[in-house]
Amino acid sequence: MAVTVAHIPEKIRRQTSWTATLRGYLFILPVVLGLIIWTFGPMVASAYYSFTDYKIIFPAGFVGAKNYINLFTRDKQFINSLSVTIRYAIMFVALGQVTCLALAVLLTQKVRGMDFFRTFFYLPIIVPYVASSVLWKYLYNKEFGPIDGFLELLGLPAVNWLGSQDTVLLALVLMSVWSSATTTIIYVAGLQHIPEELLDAAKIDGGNGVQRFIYVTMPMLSPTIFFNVVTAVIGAFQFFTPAFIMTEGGPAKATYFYNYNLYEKAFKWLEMGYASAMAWVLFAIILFLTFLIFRSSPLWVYYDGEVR
Amino acid sequence: MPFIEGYGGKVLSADGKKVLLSSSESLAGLQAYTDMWTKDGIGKPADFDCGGDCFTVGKAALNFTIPGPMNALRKLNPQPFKWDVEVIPSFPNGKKVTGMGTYGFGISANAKDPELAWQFIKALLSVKTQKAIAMDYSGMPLQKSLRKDADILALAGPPDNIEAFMSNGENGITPQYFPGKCGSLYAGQINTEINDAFDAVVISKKSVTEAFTTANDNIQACLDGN
Repeated sequence: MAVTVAHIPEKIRRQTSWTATLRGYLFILPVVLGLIIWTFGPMVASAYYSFTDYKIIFPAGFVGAKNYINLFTRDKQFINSLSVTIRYAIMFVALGQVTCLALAVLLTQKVRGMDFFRTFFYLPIIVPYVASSVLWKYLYNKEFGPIDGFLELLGLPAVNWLGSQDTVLLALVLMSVWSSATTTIIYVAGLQHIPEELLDAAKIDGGNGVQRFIYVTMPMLSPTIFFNVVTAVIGAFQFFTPAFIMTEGGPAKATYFYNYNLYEKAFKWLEMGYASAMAWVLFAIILFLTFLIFRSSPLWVYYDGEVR
Repeated sequence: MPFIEGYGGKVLSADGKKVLLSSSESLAGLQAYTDMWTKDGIGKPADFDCGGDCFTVGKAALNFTIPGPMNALRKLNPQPFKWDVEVIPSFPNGKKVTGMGTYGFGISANAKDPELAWQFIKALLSVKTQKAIAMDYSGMPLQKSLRKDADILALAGPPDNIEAFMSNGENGITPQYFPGKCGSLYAGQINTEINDAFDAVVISKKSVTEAFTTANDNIQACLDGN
């Protein structure tokens, strides 16, 4: 027998509503507690420590804005590490988006065995970053790495990928692009949501493949590109693991990323107060860049149904 | 440090206030040290990944090292090559100088049982334990009384010339202590500045004078600021 809400007495209804609310709060409690203890707590702590000279083994003393002033006026590695990170970010975002989009276009073609190819291209994401860093360190090895072995087979000179200041950043970018399977999958999903009738209409109007891609696919995909660019920029500025495992910031600081600099200040120099200030500056940089991308979005991002 | 002192230089003035890396004697030592990479080609190339320890995998003929790795090297079965140890050659002033580590044990002020901790440290530094460490090829004994110990000197090779390690204590200098909060030769800003200067010479091909004068000035600024 169906019972409508109107037939439940007010008192029971209120009690049920209260119980449901409590149950809901209990369900989200672990996540909220986790966020407070493990995310917001450390954030507040690091904000406080960024104004101190905390070095773990000494008590923290308040130093005002000294850490921030030193960062911009005395730390020569601040500019260097930021420069390395920006160069990496530009290369990674540009090459990564183009490669992943091209792969996604290929992976949405109607050919036999596409499920296999999609699985195959998603595999890199399963490999932990530490493991893939070790793997790529071997692949790039000048002495016995297969990449240089292949180049030599073609009669080309071996490249000292990780040992040369000229090639090491590119080597890390290529590895990161290889690890960007999630971006490809998001592009695949975006491409699949483009209405077929729009592409058909463009075809009937005489548009060739390139024109359909530029005038239909790209605008319809622009929200997906927007999302992927934002996440890629944030990820690029947080780049750390491969530099730590594969190059240790070298050679000669050529891969001394901002986060590697921060790690060294915190865990090798034990300058926790200074490193906290660095972390907040990085947060501000990422926030500013994300804001810029958001502000630019009306110029190039088209949302379905939007009238311009 | 051995190269700097072998050429008559010092890392720091006696009062601990002035960094002396850019003195002419220190620079001469640093030049000789970096020449092993930039001129003589006998140092492990800084841009080369041997796929492990270069000496162990047979990619380097020479290895400046402490006694500790002997144990691991001896455990390689079969032994990949014949090896032995020798005291480093004399510097131009005729002196042999080599780096010498220390046992950095300490007892925390908040230790629950400082007396027990003290007994433990004394046991570690006892003749019995130190001899056991040497007999295991894991280090050289601290006690001078063990320097001519027949059992240690009669240890089966490799290395056949283990006496070189034993007698080299005569030439040892301990790491320079730096006051303040700028780190040490092994950690912190001082370590980073010196490593950066080395990279600048060996990888970026800067002059020893330019690279180590920069390191000298940066470390001095840190010491002055602390």
